[in-house]
Amino acid sequence: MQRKIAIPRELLVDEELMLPGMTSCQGCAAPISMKIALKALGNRTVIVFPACCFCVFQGGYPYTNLKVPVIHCPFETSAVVASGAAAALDVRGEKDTTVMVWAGDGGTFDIGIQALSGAAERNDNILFVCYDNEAYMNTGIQRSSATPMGAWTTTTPAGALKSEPKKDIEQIMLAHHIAYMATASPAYPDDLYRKFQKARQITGMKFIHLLSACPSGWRIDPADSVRIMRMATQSRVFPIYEVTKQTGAVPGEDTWEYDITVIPEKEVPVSDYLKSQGRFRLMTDDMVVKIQKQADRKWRDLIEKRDATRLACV
Amino acid sequence: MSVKKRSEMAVRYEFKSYRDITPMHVSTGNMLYNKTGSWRFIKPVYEDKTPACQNACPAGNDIEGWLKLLGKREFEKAYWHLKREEPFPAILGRVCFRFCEAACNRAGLDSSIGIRELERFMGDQAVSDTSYPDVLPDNGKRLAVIGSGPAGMSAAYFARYLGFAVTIFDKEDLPGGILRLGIPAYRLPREVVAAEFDGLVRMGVEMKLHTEIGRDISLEDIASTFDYVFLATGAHRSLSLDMAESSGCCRIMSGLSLLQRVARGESPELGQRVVVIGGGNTAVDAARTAIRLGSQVTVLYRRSESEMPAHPEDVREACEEGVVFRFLAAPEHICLLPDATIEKLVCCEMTPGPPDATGRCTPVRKEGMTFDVPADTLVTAIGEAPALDYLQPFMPDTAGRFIETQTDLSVACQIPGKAKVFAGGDTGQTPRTVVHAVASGKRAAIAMDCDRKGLDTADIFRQIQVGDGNAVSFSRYMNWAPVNPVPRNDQSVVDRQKIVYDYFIRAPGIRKEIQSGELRKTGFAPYHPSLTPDEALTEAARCMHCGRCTECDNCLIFCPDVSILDQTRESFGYAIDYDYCKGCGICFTECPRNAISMIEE
Repeated sequence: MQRKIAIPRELLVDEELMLPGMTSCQGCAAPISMKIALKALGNRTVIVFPACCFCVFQGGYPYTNLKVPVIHCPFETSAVVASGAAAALDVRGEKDTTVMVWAGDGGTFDIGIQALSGAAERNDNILFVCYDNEAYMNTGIQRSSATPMGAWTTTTPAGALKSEPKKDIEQIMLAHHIAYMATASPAYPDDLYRKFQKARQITGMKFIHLLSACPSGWRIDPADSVRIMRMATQSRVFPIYEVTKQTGAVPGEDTWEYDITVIPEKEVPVSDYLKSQGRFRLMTDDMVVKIQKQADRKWRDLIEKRDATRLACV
Repeated sequence: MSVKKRSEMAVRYEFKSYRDITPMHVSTGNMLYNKTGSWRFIKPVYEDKTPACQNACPAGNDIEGWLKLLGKREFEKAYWHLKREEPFPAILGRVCFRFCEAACNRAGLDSSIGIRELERFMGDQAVSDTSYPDVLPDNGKRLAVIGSGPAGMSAAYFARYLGFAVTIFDKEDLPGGILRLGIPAYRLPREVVAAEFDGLVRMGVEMKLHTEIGRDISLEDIASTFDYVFLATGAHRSLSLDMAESSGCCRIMSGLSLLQRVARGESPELGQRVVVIGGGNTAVDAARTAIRLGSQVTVLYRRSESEMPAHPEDVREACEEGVVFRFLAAPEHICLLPDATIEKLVCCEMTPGPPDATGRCTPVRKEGMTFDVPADTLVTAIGEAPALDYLQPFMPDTAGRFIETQTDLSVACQIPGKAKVFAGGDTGQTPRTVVHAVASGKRAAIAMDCDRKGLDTADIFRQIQVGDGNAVSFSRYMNWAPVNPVPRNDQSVVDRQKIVYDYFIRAPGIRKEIQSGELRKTGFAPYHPSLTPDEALTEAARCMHCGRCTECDNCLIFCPDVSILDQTRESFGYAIDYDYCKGCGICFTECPRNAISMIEE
């Protein structure tokens, strides 16, 4: 029997909030995430786009391919524009509208981080989604602080591959004591769907980190983009988990509950995931070992934190 | 197909001057004008392909088709769908060597589907008073089938479907051939065979039993009254040991004759110690029959266990019943007592030698390594050949050999008369299994019909080929509708590389406890319990439906360009909006069962 992707059927065949005709590359994973996210959020959603692939390919002025209101804003201002939109909605008493930022890794990890940090610190009622394709793909594959170690980009070319590990944005966001932090991957669409649904119901700052394959920048076959994202989770390079704030009875006694929401049945070594992509082709063996160790450590940490949560709950 | 053209809903703007631009930049158009389909150079299409199980089945049984119907609890429909390609599920569900299960893609995840058990379950569901659907009206041609074994039964069944008037001739008093006389009752109860024959008779097949060709009726007579003749006389002549002492000793018999005597109700006196020589299915069946008659049985085989042609499961069950196997051992000579009974058998140890033309090694004697095996009865089962004496006047070179046939199973022989002659089953060179015999009967029936209509048989066989060509499909010859109403690509086989195992949940198959060997060997009762309806449904649900769309929605969910259009509510499956499909191939790689193909535009 098949593991059915558990998204309600009526939603799947309902009217799409995203139209075809976009100029995204073949095999781009971002529209898959957007399609499913909008199914979970519904049409009462406002999307804020900083400069990123999505803001370009979903239609330049005077076109838009999303059937929800969209605000385009400068690169570094997405979180603060969203805060403003959320405040305006609050003034108007519209409680059921979600304000979502849909930013790339550049607009989150690098250029957008100060506005994001501010919004997170203020615990503004927004949902910040980072679809992370691990480089500045829109401008032609330049490294970002989300680019993993050992990856080729045009600014980390052969001979000078990126030697620094990827910035741990998830820990940065958790350090802001936000209401909800999750990772998700369109390779597991039902998990992604559920997380957006959950985020919609939480008041306060929500952050969702999406892995988003980029066939052009990752140097992969467009047909394999979902498969490779699945391998990212199976190899634990990109574990899928969520951290939910549990408000304590006394102020200052809040706790954060860890849950690993996708535990893949099949485990693959990190090297299989790396070998499947052209951008890691020049990677040395000791870098592979390093990444394997990082992945293992991250997984161990997650298990520990999840188990600590469970113990605390009992 | 009523696909609403989304490109007609495009809202497009043309700015003639700066005045057209609104003071506040608000997008009001959409990108539907941008038909990204023009980027594409390969396109996805939905296709029904051939699952590995069907491809491996010599008879081309559409296993996935009837499992799907069974899963929907449409028992009656599933039963008739099964009978389209494989007419005797109650028989093959018991004796088939399960080529399908060896190929089953599910084995790459946990364990293969218990297809034979399910087929047996389907066969036992058969309702005795059902009439056969879709049988064509009489076409005015008469077919004589010589021999009522599995090949003859199958030819009669399919030919009757095609409208032939069929008469089966058999020299025995009861029909069934090897099914009744070769396969022991513990594997195939006699009433199961009888029930399948009742079905043939209800279809309108005429039986002429106790009629031996050459004794009761001549082949010339048949050839002049019938339009077609199908020779399915099997391989009932046992090869004998090349040993001088063996003549004149009453305690030496062939494996087949032992099985036949027991099948006819005799209980031959075998003595305490029985030695069986051979490593094929006949040897194992004879050994298990002898142990049921109360003897201690040793099987001598001159090659190693892994090279045994017998089915490993049968060998294992024989061991459980107490049969002792001695591998790499061959008889040298037999020591007889004065009263012509056997004293002992002198054997020699063998060692694997150089490989022969078939790739198996030729055993070589180990000089001086002889040993004695005490024996009261010696059963030789070193192979069978067709007994073709009746054909010899018309085809002199068949003496002691098989019948040479064309690819359409027709035989070039000079029998005076109008009839065209075909041959199948064990008379030919195909592997000697029941399912191969059934497959040859199907081929011959289709070939006869092509001949009647004046069609090019080779061309028709190519058109109705299943997978990479082991079998032909009767339902496609008849143009019967498949379960999924989608375009077919039957020559494409879905193997394990094409399955996305990540989408399937591990679930162990149902393995029924069978009686212990000690209990089994006390009689000839069948010991394999059948599946209950619930178990059958659980087992059928494990099928991965390789190469056949099950409307799982994966393509719909993953398409980044929203170009899969759902039509499951009105009809079957999905449509692809080629206006926008960029041909990325994600639907193709994420289809768990490879029901989508990418084709060049």
